[in-house]
Amino acid sequence: MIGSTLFYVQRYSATYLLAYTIWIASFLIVNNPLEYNSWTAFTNQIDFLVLTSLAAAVSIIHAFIGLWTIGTDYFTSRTLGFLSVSFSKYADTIRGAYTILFSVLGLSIFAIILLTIWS
Amino acid sequence: MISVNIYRYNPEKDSFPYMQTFKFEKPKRDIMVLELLNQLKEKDPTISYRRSCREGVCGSDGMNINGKNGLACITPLSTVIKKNKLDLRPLPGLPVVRDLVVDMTEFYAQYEKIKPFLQNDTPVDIGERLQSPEDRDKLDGLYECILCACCSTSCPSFWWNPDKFVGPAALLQAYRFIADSRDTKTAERLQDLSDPFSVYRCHGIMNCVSVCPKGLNPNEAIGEIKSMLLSGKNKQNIIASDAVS
Repeated sequence: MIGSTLFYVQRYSATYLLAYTIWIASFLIVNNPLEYNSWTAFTNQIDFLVLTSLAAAVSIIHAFIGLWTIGTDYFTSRTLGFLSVSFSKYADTIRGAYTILFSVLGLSIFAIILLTIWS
Repeated sequence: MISVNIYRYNPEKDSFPYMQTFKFEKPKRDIMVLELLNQLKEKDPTISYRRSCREGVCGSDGMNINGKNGLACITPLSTVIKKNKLDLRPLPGLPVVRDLVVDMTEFYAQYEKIKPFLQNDTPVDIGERLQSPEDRDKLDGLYECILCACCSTSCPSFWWNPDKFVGPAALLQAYRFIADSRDTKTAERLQDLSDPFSVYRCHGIMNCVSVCPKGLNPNEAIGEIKSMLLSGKNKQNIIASDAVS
């Protein structure tokens, strides 16, 4: 069941990000050449703040699933064993460190986005 | 003359595998790659490879021929040779036992996992389980697999996770029983495949389709399994809803 859930989360999040990108791009095209006042008015409205926060959360979830998939493909004892047998012994540790790294990075980016747009 | 480079590895003697080059007189008539190997083996009996039926039915002589997996016995030399060179390697991704012979244990373990036999607990009425011609047609393109492993060993997802990703050959067989109107364990079969690895590690690369020596389409079968998992519909619910309506 979890396989289908991850499949749907990836597709729905990608669809949301596409819609969000089109929305932002439409604003930029309609308001071309862009002026400071119209941009600040746009970015201060509640719709922008909520939808952008959601886009940030969705991006992190989408990236987490993608990077987890890459990690479980390329950082396994078998795959690392192609490089070196000694690497393969530490595959779980290497994959764990990689997961922590991209999780911390993702959460930091999410926090920075929230701080930037809401402050 | 043709240069035939063959992957050689004898774990009892060699520290590392190496490629050995043989010169081979270009035959006047087209021959199969297996015939070439048989002739080379007469000169060097230590060359090891599997072969049996020599007509594409047993699936023993699957190997990597000039970079593409195929059956040596039904691959004409003229279709694979490039600039008078031919590279023969074992099927990729599986441990090498010796030369072109690979250890198929992981491949068979995945095949065993999908329970490749008909499951039906209901009593048999007239000595056999009948099937309509339409239902029988649904098995065409599925049952013909000879388990040569050309597809699974050409699949990067199977290379990375041969213990978790079922692989195209076994998934084709899984769908062969899911699609069978006589099998009543569809829900259980789908449940067994519902984790993030068994089916969902297929990213539609389609190497399996391009190498299958029998012209089968494992990718389509995998797509059908994914559709059933995602929709939550299986043969039993469809039959039950038909009965209600």
